[in-house]
Amino acid sequence: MLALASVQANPVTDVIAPGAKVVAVDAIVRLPALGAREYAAAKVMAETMADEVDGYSQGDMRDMGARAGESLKITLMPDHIRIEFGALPAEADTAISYVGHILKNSRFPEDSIAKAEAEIPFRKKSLWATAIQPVKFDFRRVRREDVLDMYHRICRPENVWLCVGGPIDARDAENAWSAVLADWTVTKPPRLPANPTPLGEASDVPGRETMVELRGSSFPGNDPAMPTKLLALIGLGCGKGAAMFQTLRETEGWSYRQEAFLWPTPEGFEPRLIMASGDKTAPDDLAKGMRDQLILAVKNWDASDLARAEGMAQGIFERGFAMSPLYFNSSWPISGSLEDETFLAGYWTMKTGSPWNASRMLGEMALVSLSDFKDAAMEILTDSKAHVLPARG
Amino acid sequence: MLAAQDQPPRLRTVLDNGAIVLVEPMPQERVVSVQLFASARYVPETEATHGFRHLIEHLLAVGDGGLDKRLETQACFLRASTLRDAMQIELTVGPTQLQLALDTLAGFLHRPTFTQAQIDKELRVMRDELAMRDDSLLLASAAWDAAYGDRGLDPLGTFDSMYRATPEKLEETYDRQFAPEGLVIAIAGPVDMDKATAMASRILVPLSKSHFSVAQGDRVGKPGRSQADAFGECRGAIVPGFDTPQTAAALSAALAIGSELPGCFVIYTPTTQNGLVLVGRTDSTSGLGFYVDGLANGNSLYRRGQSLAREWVQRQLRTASADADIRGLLLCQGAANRPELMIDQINAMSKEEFNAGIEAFKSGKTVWCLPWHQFRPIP
Repeated sequence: MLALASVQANPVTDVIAPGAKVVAVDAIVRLPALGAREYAAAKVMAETMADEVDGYSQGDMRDMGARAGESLKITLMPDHIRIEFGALPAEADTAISYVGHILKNSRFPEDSIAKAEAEIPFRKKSLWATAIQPVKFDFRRVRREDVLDMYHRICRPENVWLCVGGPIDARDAENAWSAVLADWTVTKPPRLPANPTPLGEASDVPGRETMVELRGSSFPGNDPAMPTKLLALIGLGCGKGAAMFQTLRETEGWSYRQEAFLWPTPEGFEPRLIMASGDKTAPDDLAKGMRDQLILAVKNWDASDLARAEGMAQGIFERGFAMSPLYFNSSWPISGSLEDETFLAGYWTMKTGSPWNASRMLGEMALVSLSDFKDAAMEILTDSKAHVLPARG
Repeated sequence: MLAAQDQPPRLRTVLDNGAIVLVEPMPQERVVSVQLFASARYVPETEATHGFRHLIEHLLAVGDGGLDKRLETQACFLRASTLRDAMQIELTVGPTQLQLALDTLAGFLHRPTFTQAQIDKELRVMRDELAMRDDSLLLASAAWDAAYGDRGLDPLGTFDSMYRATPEKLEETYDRQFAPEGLVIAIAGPVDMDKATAMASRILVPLSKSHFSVAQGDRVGKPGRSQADAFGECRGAIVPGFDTPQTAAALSAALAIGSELPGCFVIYTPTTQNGLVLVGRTDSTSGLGFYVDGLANGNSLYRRGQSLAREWVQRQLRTASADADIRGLLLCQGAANRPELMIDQINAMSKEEFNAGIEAFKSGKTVWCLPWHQFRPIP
C-alpha cells in the first residue's frame, strides 16, 4: 500500500513481464450505478478527458505512444472507465504521469465537449456491439458542468486502480504514481442524483439478423460460486464443443454466431447468452426454443462435457485463447495480451477484492462436480430473462 | 529434401514436392501455434466459383462433428479462415502436444467426400455469416471490388454463388487449393526446431506434386469511388507487393492517419501481389476524407507513421500465433518471402516516400468507399 498522508489510494498493481518490449499502463476508474443522463455525461467525459491535459501536448503523447506502437484509449463500460496507454520501457514514468494527469488535470474545453455531444449520438454501432451494449444514452441537457461534476465525482484516488505491466521495476512505478498522487487535491464528492432516470436499451439492431439473448441473474464479484458459474458459462458457450455451438448452430442451424459471457455491472456480474439468427421463426419463439434446447443439452451433459469445459478453461486462462467469457473490455473478451493481463490484474481486485489468479481459478474449477456444473448451467438458463432485438432490416 | 537455413533461430525447409515447413522456436511462449496454409494460386476466386473455398473451409472445420470437443478437452483449439491468397487452419496446443496438432492437420490433407446434404446444411449457417459482416469488412470488400473488379472478389463469397456448389465442384476446388507445392506448415512456440521440422515434414513429404498451372497474372488496380451497403468511410491505397517501398509508405501513412482520427481501422494483409492498404472508420461518415485531402503534407506525421508501421510488423513476430500466421501466409506465396523485408523497407523509408504514401490516400489516387446514401457522382 502506498504510504500517503494526503489521499487514500489503492496500491499499484504490477504485472512483471521481463521479456515484453513495451510497458502497459492502465488506470481503472470505478463507476457507480448511473442513470441515463449521468451515464451520458460519463461517456462525454471519457471521450474528451484527454483532449487537453495540463502539462502535456496531445501530439507529443501520440508520438510517445507511437514509438511503442500504441495509442491512448479511453473506454467506458457499465462499471468502469479504462484509460489505457503504452510506452517504451524508458518512458514508463512519463506514461504513468500522463495517465495520472488525465485523471486530475483535464481541462475539458468547451469545443471538445460540443463536438463529442454532436457526434456520439449519431455514431453507428454494429449489430453485435448493439446487442452486447444495448444501452441508450440520454445526451439531452448534458452540459459541460455535468461532465466536470462527473469527473470530480469519480476521478478520485480512492476510486482509481492503476496497473502497470511489462519490463518494469515495481518501485519505479509506485514512485511515479506517488508523484501523481502527491498534489492530487480532491474536494468533497458531488452528490448523486436521488432518482436518476434508468438507462434505456435499444429496441432493435441494424441489419437482417435478429439478436436473441438469455440474460441471467446478476451476482456479486466475490460470490464464492464464481469458479462453478464461470465453468458453467464456458460449458454453455465458449468454444465449438460448447452447448450453444453444438445445439443452436450445428443441430438447429439457427445461428452462425453465438456467445456466452460474463458481463460487468456496477453491482457485480451478469451471465449472458446471445445468438444472432436470420431464422424466420418469430423472435420470441426463437428465444423460447433457444432456452428449451439448451436446457435439454445441459440435462444430457456428462463427464465429457465437464472435461471439455475444464480443458477450454485451461486454454483460455492459462494458454491465452481468445475465447474468454470475461467480457470486461469495450472490445469484449479479455485476451492473453500484456495489455489485457495488466488490466485484469487490477480490475479483478476492484471487483472481487482479490487479485486475479488463473492457477487458483483453474484449481477451483477442477474441484467442481458434474452435478454442480449442470446445476449452475441450469440455474443460469432457468433464471434468465429473454431479450430480443429484432432486425431493423 | 532441400534444407535452407533462414535466419537463426528459425528453420525453413523446402521439400522436394515444393511444400514448405517453417519452424521458429519461441521458448518464452505458453503455446505452440501450428498453422497449415494452402495457397490459392491455382484456385483464384471467379464469378463461377466465388466462395467455394470458404465453403470448403467450413466443411473441413466441422470434421466428424466431434473434433472440436476432443481438442478442447485437451485445452487445444482449432481455427480456420479463408483469405484471398490462402486457406489457413491453425491448431493452438500446449508445448507437449505438437504431434496431436500435426495429426489433426494431416487429416485435412486427405480429400474428404462432400455430400450435398452437408453443403446445404452449412450454407444455411453461412447465410447468417454473410449477413453479419461488419461495416469495416463491407467497406473493405467494396474497395477491393472498385480497385480490382473481378480480380478482387471477397474470399467470403456470396450466397448466390455458393448455392451453385456441388460435391464434385468442391472436390475439384479442394484439389487445387491443397496442391502440395502451395502448402506450408508454420510452427512457432516452445518446440525443438529440428524435431518439429522432421515431424511436420513427415506429413508433407508423401504428397505428390500437382500438375496445375497458375491461371492468372497479377491483378491491376485502379483508383475510383464505390458504394457499400455499410456505414462509414474507407480509403484504399493501391500498392504493389508487401516488400516494396510504396507499400511501406502507404502502411505508415495509413497508421499515421489513423492515429489522428480516433476510431479508425487500418487493414493490410501482406501479399506478393498488388493489393490495398485500407484506412477507414465505421462509427461516423465524416472526417476521414476531409482530413486526408486537407493534409498539405505528412511531414509532421513521418516519424510517428514509421514507428507505428515498424511496430505493426514487429508485433506480429512476438507471439507464436501471430508469428506463424504472417510467416506462413508469406511463405505460401513464395519461399523467399519474410516479414523482415517489410521492416527493412519501413526503416529505409524517406520523408518523401512517406508523403507519397499520404498522397496515395487522396482523392484522385485512392479507392474511396462510401455508404450508398452518401454516394455522389464524381463531378
